[in-house]
Amino acid sequence: MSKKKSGSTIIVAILAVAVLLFLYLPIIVVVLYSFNSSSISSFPMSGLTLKWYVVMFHNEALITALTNSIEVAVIATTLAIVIGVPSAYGVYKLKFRWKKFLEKVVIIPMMLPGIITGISILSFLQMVGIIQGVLAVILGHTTFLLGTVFPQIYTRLRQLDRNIEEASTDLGGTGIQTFFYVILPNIKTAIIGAALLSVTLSIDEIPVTFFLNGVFTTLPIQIYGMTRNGFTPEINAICTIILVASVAVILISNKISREEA
Amino acid sequence: MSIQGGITLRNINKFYGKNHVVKNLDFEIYPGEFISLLGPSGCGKTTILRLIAGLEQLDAGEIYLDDKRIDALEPYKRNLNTIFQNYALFPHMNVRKNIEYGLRAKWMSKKEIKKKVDDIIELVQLKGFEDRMPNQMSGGQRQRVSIARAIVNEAPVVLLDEPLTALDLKLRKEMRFELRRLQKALQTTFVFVTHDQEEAIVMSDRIAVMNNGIIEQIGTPEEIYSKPKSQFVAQFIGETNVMEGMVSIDEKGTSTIQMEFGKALIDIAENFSDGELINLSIRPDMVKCSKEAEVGFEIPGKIVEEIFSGATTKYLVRLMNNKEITVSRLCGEESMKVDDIVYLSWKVTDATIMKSESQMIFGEIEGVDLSPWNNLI
Repeated sequence: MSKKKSGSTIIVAILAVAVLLFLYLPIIVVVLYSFNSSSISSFPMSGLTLKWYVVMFHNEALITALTNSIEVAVIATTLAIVIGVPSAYGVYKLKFRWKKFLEKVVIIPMMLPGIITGISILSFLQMVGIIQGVLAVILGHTTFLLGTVFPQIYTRLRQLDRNIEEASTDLGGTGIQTFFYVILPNIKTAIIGAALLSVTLSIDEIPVTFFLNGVFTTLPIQIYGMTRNGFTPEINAICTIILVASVAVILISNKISREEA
Repeated sequence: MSIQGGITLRNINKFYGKNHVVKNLDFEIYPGEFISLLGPSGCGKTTILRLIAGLEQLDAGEIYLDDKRIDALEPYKRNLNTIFQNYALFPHMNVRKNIEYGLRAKWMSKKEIKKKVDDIIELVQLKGFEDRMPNQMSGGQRQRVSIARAIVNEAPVVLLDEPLTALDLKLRKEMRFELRRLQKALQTTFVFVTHDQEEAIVMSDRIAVMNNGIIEQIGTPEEIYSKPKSQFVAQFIGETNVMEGMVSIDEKGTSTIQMEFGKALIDIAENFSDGELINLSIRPDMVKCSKEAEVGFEIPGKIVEEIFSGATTKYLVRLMNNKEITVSRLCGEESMKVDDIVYLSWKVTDATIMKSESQMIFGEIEGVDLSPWNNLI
C-alpha cells in the first residue's frame, strides 16, 4: 500500500513542479538576465553585472514613462476611492428598486475586455471634447478601477454589523458623524486593500491606455514599444523592479487583510 | 420638575410588505416605569421598540415622548437610547471611547465627558477595563459597556431589546436585578423587550403581553398572572389548566360550568348567559384538593403522579375523561400521595373565564355519570 501511495505521490510532485516551472520560469529568466553581463539574452550567462540597471536609469524615455505611470496610478486610484467609497456606502444604505441590478452593473468595466472599455471611453471622451492624452488616460483608469473599488468596499460594508450603525444614530450621531466615526474606521482595511490593488492594476494596464494615450506614454506602453525594436537587457531590469514592487504590495495587502481577520 | 419619559403610542401600525406586524396599537408608557413588552418571537414587540427608537418608520399613527411628537424625527434627534440584543459595541473603540460616543456626538466639553464617563464606569463596575477593546471582553462585560453607553446620555427613556438572551443563565439572573436596581436609581423609563415570562415578571412594574401584533393584556405582573384576560395570556404566563365547558344557570341564579368530567361554580360577576360555551383557566397553585366535594364543585380525580421540583411539588390529577390537571403545592404544605382520590375545587374569583373560541359541543353535559368511579370512592 505504501509503495503504491509513494508512486502516486511522486507523480503528483513531478506535476506540481512542472506547473510551477511553467508559471515562474519565464519570470526567473527575466530576473536572471537582468544581471547578465552580455547584452545577448542567452545561456550560459557570461557574468553578473548591474550595468543594465544603470542603463535603465539613464533611459530618459523609460523614466518619464515610469513617472507618468505612477502619476496616473496615484491620481486614478485616489479618484476611484473618493468616488467609489461614498457610492458603495450610498448603495448599501439606500433602498431602491434597481439596487440588485446596480450591484452587478458596476463591476462590468472590470470584467469587459479592455479593448471594449478602451474604445467606448475613447468615443465618449471625443463626444464630450476631451482629446487623447494624460487626462483621458486618468479618466479611463478611474473608470475601470471603480469596478474593483466598488465591489470590495460594498462587500465589506455588507459584512458590517448593521446594529453598530443603528447604535451610532441612536446615540445621537448624525449621518456624517456615523460615516466618519463608525463606518469609515471599520472599512479602513478594505479601502487600503482596494487602493493597493488599484495602483498595481493601473501601472500594469495596456489595452485601455492604448486607446487613450495619444502621445502620452505609460510604462507598459513604453516597454511594449521598446520590445518592437529588439529586446534590450534594460527591459529585464525594469521588469525585475516592477516584479519586486508588485510582490511587496501583495505582501502588504495580505498582511493587512490578515490583521483584519 | 415632573418626571419625564412618558411615551404615548397612538394607533400605530407597521407593515413589512403585506405582513401587518403592529396592528393599530394604542397605549401609554408611564414616566419612570419599567415596562416589559412580552410575547413569542414574531409578535411585533421588537418592531415596537424600533419604531419608538426611530430605526423603523411608522406606516400610520403617532408616537409622543412626553408632549413632543417624535415619530417623524431622525433617530439621532430622539431623546432616548437603545441597548441592543447583540450589544452593537463599536469594535474599533475601547470601552471608554464606546461609552463617550453619545456625549461626543453632542459636542460636550472634554472635562464634562470625562467626569460623566468615570461616574458611569464606576456605576456599572467596569473600573480598570477602560482601555479594553470589545473583543477582549466577556459577554457579561460587553453587556455592561452597552448599558453604560446608553445610560451615560441621561435620556429619559432607555429601550432594551432582549439584552439578556446572550448571557448564560446565572449571569442572566444577576443582571435582572442589576438592571432593575439601576432603573430605580436612575428613575428612567425602561422599555424592555423579552420573550422570557420569568424575566418580565420579576423585573417589571407593568407587562404588556403581545401576540400577533396586538397587545393581549397590559397590567402589573400580579394582574397578568392572577387575572389573565385571554387564554393566550393565561397560557403564555406561567402554567395553567384550561377546561372547556358550558355555562348553566339554575333558578336560584347560581352559575356553574358543566364539563365532561364534572362541574364547577363560576363567579356570578362573570356575564355569561345560560348555554354559552366557555373556557376556564385555573393556575396549579390555586387548585384545592379535598376528600369531600365542595359546594358547587363536582370534579373527582385520582392522583397519578407526584413530581418534586424544588420549592414546590406538582401533582398530576387524572379526571374521568382521562384529562390531567396539574396541582402544585409548596413542600410540606399538605400530604397527598399517588393513588389518592381527591375532589378538586377553587375560589371562584381565582379562575379566569373566557368565551370559548372552539365550537365543540359535548356529548353529555348534564347529569355526569360517576358510576365508573363509584367503586373506587
